[in-house]
Amino acid sequence: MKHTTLIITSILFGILFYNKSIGLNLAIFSLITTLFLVIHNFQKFTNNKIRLLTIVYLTTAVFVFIHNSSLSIIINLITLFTLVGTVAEDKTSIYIAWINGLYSSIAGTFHRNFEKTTEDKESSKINKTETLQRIKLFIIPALFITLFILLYKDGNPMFNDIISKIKFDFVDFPWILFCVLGYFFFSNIIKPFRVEPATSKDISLKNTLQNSDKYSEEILKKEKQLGATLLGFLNVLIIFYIVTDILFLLSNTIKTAPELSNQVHSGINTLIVSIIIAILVILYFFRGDLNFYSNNKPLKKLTYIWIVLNIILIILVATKNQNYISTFGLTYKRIGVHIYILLTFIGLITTLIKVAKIKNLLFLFRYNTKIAFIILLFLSTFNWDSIITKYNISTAKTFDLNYLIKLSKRNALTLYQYKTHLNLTSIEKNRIDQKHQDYIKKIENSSWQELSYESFKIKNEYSK
Amino acid sequence: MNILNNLAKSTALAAIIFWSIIIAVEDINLTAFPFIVISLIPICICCTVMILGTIYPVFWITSNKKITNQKVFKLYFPYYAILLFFICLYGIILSCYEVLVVSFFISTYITSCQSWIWFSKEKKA
Repeated sequence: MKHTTLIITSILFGILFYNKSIGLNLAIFSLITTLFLVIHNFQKFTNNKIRLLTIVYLTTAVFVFIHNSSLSIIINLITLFTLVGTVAEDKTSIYIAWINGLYSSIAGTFHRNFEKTTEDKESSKINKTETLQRIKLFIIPALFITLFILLYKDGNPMFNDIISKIKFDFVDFPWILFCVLGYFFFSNIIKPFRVEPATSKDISLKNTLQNSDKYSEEILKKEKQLGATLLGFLNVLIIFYIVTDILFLLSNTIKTAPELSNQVHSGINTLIVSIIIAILVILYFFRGDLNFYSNNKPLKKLTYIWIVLNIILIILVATKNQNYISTFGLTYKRIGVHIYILLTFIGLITTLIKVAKIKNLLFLFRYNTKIAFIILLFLSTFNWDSIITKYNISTAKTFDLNYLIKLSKRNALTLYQYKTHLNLTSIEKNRIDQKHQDYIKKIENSSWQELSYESFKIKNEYSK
Repeated sequence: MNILNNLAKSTALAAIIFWSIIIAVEDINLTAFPFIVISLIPICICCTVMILGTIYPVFWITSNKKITNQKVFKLYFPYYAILLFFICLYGIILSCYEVLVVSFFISTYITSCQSWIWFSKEKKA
């Protein structure tokens, strides 16, 4: 059973990926991998967490077929490692699941080879003898047949003619090597492994802080005073910064793209430094016994105010970025700034929860990684090239056409459809037409493995 | 630790993998046979550098501590394999999938991983 499934999946791997770019093949591969994991780890798939991850993995595969973007491909691979890692151990944090999944996927066979016990060795000795016998059965007759064919060829011209017509051109060795690669991958994930002691340590560590019972009231009182003074001054400073920033935003004196760009970038830099310092300060003061100190309420209140003010700072930078986008159009970098702002916002909220519910640093790592992964998963469900193109043409006040043309081919159709709405020079029109033509040609020449949903529709339209 | 034995086995394994890939992909005739034999020298040098530079030190440093080779393997091999995998993958992508480079990095990865197993299965003196 094990060898049969391995051989079938490795042949399918060769058929799907050899000399092909990514498209429908990755979606089918995801389905095959899921089935393979279910067959060999059936008991594990009764777990709801693994079932949910399987659905997520298959959904990412669907989005690889629909959008065929780099982000959707990367997310599909990360989800595969997460699934394999969760099959290895379902109670770990997501980053340990990634390590387990990655390790099992790239070195599972070596680990299995290492873990073979003496009993296994004896059974493998018996297996080896059987395999050797099979090889003998194949190689010795093959050698003798070849020898006698060579002898008979000289003796009979008709026999020679027939034998000369037999060619082995159909045997494609690179394809076989690709199948071997597939065999290696599937034999790696057949029974995923846990990386120890990282996995067991991660399972044993909880998210909540424990009271040490040995703290001195005097030290804690001094620490609380220091924290309250520091956070108090920082709060005053940040309020002053926010007020000036709001006044600056309302005055709206910036008109040129470089000025606005400079504003957004310096705002982001301020935000990065501010948030990092804010979280570090909070983590320092709430690292241990101060969480359990009865008189810590003023410090906690100041911390909440500090977090809320940082959130206001985030909203201000987001507003600046949005102004920038609505005036000069969407780009990947500007979307990236919005994503960064969102992640920072979530980071602050989880820090607030950490302080309020007396959680430890591990809680922040665990939840922030999980949330970042979910956000990336969500983002991979959009065709960003098309969204950028549509937004810039229909909504933005001004935009860079050169940037749109230089984007991947996935916006070729949108750009081609919208070109009539634009005032373009003949050179620009030609460049858009050329991009569209190249895209259609690429789709026409692509095999079924490389198709995406859009190219599938186009191919069907052209075949009618 | 039997380093010479490990080096000999690793060189043989690396040479088999390296030339199997090249022969499967490129058209190589019998005239290339002397090059295959000569290539054992650079392959042996690469294996020596790789094993003595990256794998053996891990076992050597931990040799004074009371942990078995199996434990050393479990502790450090996963991270070594992950790191080496990404370095090899980066090298392959950087070379634009040049057959010689792909073959080199695949043999490096497999040989290094196998070399870890050979070391870990040796008993401490």
